[in-house]
Amino acid sequence: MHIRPENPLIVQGDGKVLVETNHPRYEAARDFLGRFAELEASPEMLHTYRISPLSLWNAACAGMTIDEIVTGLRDMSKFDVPEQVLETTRSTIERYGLVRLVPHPDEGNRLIRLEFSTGYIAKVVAQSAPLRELMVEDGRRFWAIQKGHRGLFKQRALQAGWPIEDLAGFLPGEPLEITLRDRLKDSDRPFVVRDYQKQAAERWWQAGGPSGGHGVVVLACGAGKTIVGISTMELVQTRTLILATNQAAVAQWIREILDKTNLRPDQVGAYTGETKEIKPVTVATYQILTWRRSKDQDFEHLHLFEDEDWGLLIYDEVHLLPAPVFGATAALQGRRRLGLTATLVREDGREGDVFSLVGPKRYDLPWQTLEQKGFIATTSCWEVRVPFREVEAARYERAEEGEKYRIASANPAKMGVIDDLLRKHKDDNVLIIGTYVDQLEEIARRFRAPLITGKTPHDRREVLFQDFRTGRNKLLVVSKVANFSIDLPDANVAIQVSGTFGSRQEEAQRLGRILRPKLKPAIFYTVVTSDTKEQAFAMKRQLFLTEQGYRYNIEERRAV
Amino acid sequence: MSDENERDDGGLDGNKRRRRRRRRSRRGSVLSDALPMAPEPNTRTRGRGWRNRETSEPVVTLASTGKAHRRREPSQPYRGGVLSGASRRRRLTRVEIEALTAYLERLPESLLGALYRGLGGQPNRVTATDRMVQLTVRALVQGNRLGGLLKSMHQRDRQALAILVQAGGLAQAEEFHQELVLSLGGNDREWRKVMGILGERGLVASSEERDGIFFYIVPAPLIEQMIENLREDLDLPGFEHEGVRVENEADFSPPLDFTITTLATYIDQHPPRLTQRQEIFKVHKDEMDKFFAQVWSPDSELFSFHIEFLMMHGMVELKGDRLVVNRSVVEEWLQLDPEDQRDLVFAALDKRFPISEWVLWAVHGVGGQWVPERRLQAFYRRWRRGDDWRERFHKGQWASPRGGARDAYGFSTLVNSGMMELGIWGQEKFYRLSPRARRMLAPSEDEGFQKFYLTPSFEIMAPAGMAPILFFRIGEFAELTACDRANTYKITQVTVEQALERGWRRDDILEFLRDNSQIGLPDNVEQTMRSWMGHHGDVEFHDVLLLTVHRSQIRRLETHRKLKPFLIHRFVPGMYAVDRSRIEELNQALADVGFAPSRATRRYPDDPTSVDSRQRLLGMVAQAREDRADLLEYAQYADSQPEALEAVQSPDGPKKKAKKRDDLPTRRDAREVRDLSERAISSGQTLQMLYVAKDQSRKLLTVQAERVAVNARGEQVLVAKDLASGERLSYQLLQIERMDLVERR
Repeated sequence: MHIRPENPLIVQGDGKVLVETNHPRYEAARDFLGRFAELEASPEMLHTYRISPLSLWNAACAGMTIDEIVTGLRDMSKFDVPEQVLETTRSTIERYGLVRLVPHPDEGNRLIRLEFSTGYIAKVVAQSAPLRELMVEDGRRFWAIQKGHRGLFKQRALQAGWPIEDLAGFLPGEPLEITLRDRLKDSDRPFVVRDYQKQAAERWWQAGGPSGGHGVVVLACGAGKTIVGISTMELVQTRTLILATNQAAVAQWIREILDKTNLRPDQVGAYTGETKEIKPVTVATYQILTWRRSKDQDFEHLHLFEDEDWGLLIYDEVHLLPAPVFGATAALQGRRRLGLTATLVREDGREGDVFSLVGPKRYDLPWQTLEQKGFIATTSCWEVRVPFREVEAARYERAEEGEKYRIASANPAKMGVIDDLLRKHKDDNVLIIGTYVDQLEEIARRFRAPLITGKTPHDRREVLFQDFRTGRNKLLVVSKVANFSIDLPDANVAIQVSGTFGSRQEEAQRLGRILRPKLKPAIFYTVVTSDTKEQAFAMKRQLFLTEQGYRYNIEERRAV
Repeated sequence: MSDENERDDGGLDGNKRRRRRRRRSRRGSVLSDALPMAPEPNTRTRGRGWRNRETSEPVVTLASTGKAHRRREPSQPYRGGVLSGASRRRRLTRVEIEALTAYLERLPESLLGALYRGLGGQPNRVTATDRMVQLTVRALVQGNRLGGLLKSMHQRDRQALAILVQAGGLAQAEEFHQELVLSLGGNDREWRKVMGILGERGLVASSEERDGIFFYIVPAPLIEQMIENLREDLDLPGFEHEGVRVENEADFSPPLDFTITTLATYIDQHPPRLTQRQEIFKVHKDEMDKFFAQVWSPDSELFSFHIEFLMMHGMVELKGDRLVVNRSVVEEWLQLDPEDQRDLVFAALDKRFPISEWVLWAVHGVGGQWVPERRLQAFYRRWRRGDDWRERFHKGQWASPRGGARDAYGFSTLVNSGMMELGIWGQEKFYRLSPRARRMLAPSEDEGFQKFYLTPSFEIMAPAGMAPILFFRIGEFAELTACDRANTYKITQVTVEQALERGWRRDDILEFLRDNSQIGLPDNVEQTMRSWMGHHGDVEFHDVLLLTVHRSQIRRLETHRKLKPFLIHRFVPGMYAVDRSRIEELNQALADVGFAPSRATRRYPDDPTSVDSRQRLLGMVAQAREDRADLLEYAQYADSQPEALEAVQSPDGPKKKAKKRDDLPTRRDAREVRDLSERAISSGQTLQMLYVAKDQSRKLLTVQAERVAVNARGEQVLVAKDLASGERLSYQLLQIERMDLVERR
């Protein structure tokens, strides 16, 4: 065993890789690892990556070789690289491309041919019942699958440990001329796509080859994923269907597209609960696609996928892709697909489905790198702990276990803290975010601030968001409807008064609301009731944020 | 210092031990090991070394061991090294020359003559023995004379001599001939002849013959020079080829102290249960195997060596049916000198494979190359046989035992214990030291890791190669979650609370983290840990002998070289904890330095008799307070019931209406109570009474009186049935405050 302390990596036996971030070779190590390992945690000084089968298949899919990985690891590691890690890497990467999907030479409209690297592989794959079910004999020597089974086959094959190299190509879709503007339409300010956004779009596109045109781009909230989406639209030049999380996000996509491309308003439509427009570029919500009258009936709007000859599908916040949309996506493997997300962490563990149905991860950039380069705001997180007053403390003690979290979240003593914080940030644009509507109503009443909840009509929401953007209103109280895709560029202080237990995803999204770059540093406050269940759940969020590399401070207050 | 004295030094402090070691290593240089220090005839001394053997006979004495040319290397370069330029130039000291002269004077003249002749002299031309001794000493002191002789010898003669030296310079003749046949071929007769030639040159002597059996013996003063001049024949050959396939190569072979400490921490946190056959329960063993998968394979000898090592030295003990860590012993082991730690490891290894330490040193001497198995086996066999011959020689067993010695030895124990690597090339087997053993024999001062990584997510990553004490310390307040190139620990509320229970102080934990973490102590970790620890340990008890000094003398006391070691802990300037058991030493040292300590030790609390008196007085005060309280309460209860209070009337004011009597029964004395009770019993009437219970509360009761009686304490009681509860109880008459007969309806 050789020890080379001068190197930046420690490769552990379980595939975890630790990287010193203050090392002179850190950037090289980060770029190298980012290609075949998942960034698990990025706290100050030491980042943790994980080499997993999925990350290795992603790498193989992007053209990385075994030798490149092994040599790089050996070159940068402080200790000898564990033999089992190298062995796993070899055997995992070797599996990629053993089974390939290629266009069928004769019946291209109906079938996709399966290619196997050896006859033995063909035999083993055919022995797997879930795969055999979808395979059809293609003459005496070949196997094929139905065109409509492309996604399903890939999904099942991945589960069986056979990552498929998909070279079957894509439908071009109906052409649509899209050009990015040099100057923004609304403000006439110059507009340039940032380097990393361009790089992300190009990595996804792969020069238009069959290995590109599908995949996921991971970028922090506020880093401009929408621009990446629009850049890919410019690359593909085709009719596009964009799926977003809610109506506000739909409106935002449309605003951005009209502001930054040559498309006219009559070419861009929204397909939501309120409007049903199908235009060359259509932006729809996941909710409308998965809406049905009752559990026994069909999803009425899924036809949208097939109504037009879409050449590109963009899934915004792909980690939230609902199961029925997964199903529809499986049937749409002939179309180019782009997934956009800030955290490729699904609470249901279906990252594998994202890989096989939307595509591999094409681009990822740590949040801290973006922060250092000024593309997102410098942020610090504060947890302000405030105890109950005597009356509520007694009520908390008497309450049922299931009620305790709710009571702690709605601690009236938090009002004093909010009051202090608002006074401290009287010149800032402040968002107060919470989960419980009655608590938010109380806050809105007390501080005479507008409130946006699920019940607030869309038009009213837009007005309030616009007031906030223009600075007419510097304080906005929002429920969890504002967790996703709300672009409030000037918000620089967020006060979280209650949350959904310890949800990491919610924390990331809420923090994302203040990440747009701005002159002032962003501050994210979480007010929790000390010595209660809420504090225990806050601990989980603390771990998540510190793992992401944010500075996290704790302040104890007295109940007033 | 004699051996006996040294042996009594078990309690020496580190400095003394180091000084002793230095002296020992100095003694071990040049010829000192080989020369007898003029032992007294017919005296027995203790120990294994040749000097300590019975020395009345034979005439020649022997070097301590055939392995002498493989001296232990010190763990730190300066130790055992040549101390000065002067000592480098001088080959023998005057004392050593005198010892050599004495040795040669005691040699039989024929042997002396042969040696003198072998060194190039002409015995016939020297008339006096003294002169021949003088000339022989001079020749030996020159050094190159013996070297020239050995170089001029035939190769086979030299090889035979080298093998004899390897066996320790002493061998039973017949068996030695067999060894030579086995090692170098040829036959018995041939080797007998070779040994004869060596004898003629005075290089080998013989013991007395018993039944035609004798021992070959190399005169002790020659051994050192022979070792120097026969180095080529004595050393193991090295081999290097890229085609050598390593059979048991481990890609992670961390230092032993790392794995020992990590295992101790694991056992401390997850004490494994033992079966009645003293084996670890399967479920626990499986967990351990899984946990330590990166450092050893399941059921490996490396694991059993570790656990045996821990148990052998009392670091792990059996308590009930579980193995538990003896923390103080582990601490002690971790504080030992690296050389002492290594000696303990060698001692443990020797139990599994005799003289394993010497094997490791020999392989280490090859410089990292492979050593062919056969050569190593031959080497080892000669050592083992040499030990056997030496033992038999001293026991007077000249004849060969039945069965004979083993010809081949395997090194699988050392391979499986993770000390050596086995390589295969073609049909040949080779050995070399594992990185673990290399690091143990030649530890580097700095592995490049001094600090661990403490992340804001409460995880500690501690890379192998840091000081082992740090690993153990971390394990005291954080949960060990993975053993790998970098051990992973998790700080949780539970582990922190456990650490506090173990005696860690709040500030000590935080300071330890701040000092040893590469990034210091993240704010959120500090804040959270502070909230977990609360104010635990803000108030502590100390059982201590306290030394105080007048403020004018603080500086003098604290800075004095002689006194400083006595101050275990400084509470504040002028107030120190000192070792109770060294009070006399300290008194002496204080007196030597010119302090005048007071004779008596102040005691808190004072002497026992006065303590008792004070306690008695305090007891009385407490009783008095209690009594006073009783009276007050009594008065309060009896007379000041709020509902019974009235405003004080002014004599001139309008007369108030007479207030309606309260509903309470009439206040009675004990006699009235008794009379009323008896009336009630005779008439069958019920009674209403206000009774003062034991807890001084008043109870308004309505009872059916049955009889008046006397209880066990001689008190008069009314036995009556409480109409409200239906219970029959006895009521002390003295405690009945008010009573009335209830009118019959």
